[in-house]
Amino acid sequence: MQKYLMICNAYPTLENLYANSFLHRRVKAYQQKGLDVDIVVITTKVLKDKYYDGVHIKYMDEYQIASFLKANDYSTVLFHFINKKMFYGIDQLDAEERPNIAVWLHGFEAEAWHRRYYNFLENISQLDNALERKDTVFETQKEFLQDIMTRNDLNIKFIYVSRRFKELYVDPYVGVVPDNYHIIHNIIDDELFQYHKKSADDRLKICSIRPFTAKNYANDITVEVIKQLSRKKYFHKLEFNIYGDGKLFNVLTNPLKQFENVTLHKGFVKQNDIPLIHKDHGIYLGPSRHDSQGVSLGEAMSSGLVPVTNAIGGIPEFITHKETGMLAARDNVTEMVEHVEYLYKHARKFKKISEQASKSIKQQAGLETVISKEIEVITNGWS
Amino acid sequence: MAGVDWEKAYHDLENHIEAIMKETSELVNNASPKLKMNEVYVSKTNTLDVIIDATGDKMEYAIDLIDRKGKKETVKTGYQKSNTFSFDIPDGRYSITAYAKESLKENSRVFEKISVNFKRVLNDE
Repeated sequence: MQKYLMICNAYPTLENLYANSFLHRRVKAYQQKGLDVDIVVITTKVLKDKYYDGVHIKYMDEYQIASFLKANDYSTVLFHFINKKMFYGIDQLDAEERPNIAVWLHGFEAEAWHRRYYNFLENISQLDNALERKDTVFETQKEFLQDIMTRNDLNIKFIYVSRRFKELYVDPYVGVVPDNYHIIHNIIDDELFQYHKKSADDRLKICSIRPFTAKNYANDITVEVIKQLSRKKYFHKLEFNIYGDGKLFNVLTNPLKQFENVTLHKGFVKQNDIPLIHKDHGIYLGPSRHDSQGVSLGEAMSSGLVPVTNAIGGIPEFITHKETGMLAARDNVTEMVEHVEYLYKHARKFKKISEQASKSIKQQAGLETVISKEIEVITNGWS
Repeated sequence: MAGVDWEKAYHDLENHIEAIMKETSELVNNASPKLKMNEVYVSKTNTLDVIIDATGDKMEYAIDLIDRKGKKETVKTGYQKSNTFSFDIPDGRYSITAYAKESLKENSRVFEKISVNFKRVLNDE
């Protein structure tokens, strides 16, 4: 039986349930499909092996990974959030000993240093730090990606989480496109985020579940949208619930405390609690400045919420305006307000978009769709 | 090997330029000045007067005054909000180390050392 090894930067454990939990979702699905997958998390610390939900997790530095690969015969190695250190073990093997390699590109590990400029233009020291990292971190990573994307001595495939992420973020950063690549989205777990038919009244219940840790999550836009909606006659009929946590929560949401129909829920929302929140709402207000896919939007869609968001990054690949959600231009508060108003005034259209959103995202990125594609890429088509 | 769609990537980046400039404008307009020592002025009258000219945010100033011949103990003023110091000291050669720091920032400090040959200038009143 062929054996597979996943090498990643973090994996969930009992102590840290939410570290790359989407990797665990994959591994469980691979196991259910009969694949034998081991997990190695790269670390500089000495850590004992851990077991989580039937999965054995080993912790190794790059040199231990090299020895481990030499001592074990893996047919294919799967990399998530790859960097040069993680790949060191592969390079230490003779060319004929090297396993097949599948590299998932998710986000920050394959983007230019300036992509999230709004996160480092808050003060001079952040900017100075970003400029330093441009040379010390981003340039090194770019050269590494260029290397593995162009080498002839590797049997390697690349998986991008969306086509727009590849074309807008990764390609212009790396400057080359690998021969062998696939577009496979992150899983939108339709077993967890089950569709619940929405009533016309549900369009009056608007929620947002976002981290408040950085400006790319665009919570400032959510606040502005609610402030502008407060000038509308129908505002009092709407109900808002804002969920999230992070250093920006208090400072951003403070202006919303004046509104009786806005409830602030400060705190981390567990994955299993999100479907319950989805069930009680009809619109998911999720503006964004940067997304390779927009997983939280997809999860809301799966549950039957109509997303109101921005046409940036990978998002338009998953949401078609007025068919499966509402898209505004980058940073455009007025358009987002108009979109909420449109849903308020068109109850029947709201219900239709809700139904279409759920169907569409399930078809595009549902558990079964994604896992079938990934298993096909992992197990077949190697030269 | 397929190529990069540079045109598509350029148009996406162009969409950001206005926002980048707005963010930068905010940063520049709200930025506090960078800490730097401009000049240490010394005037000799009945006393040795020192004025520290430095740029920064919420500044504090201090001086170490050292008698080069070692007859008089070193004077360390400690940090104060005023940038002006006056020393009633005997004639002689002194070293002055002038410090400026930003009170809200740890480890922020600039300094300059100068030498002074002090001789009292007595007023004929």
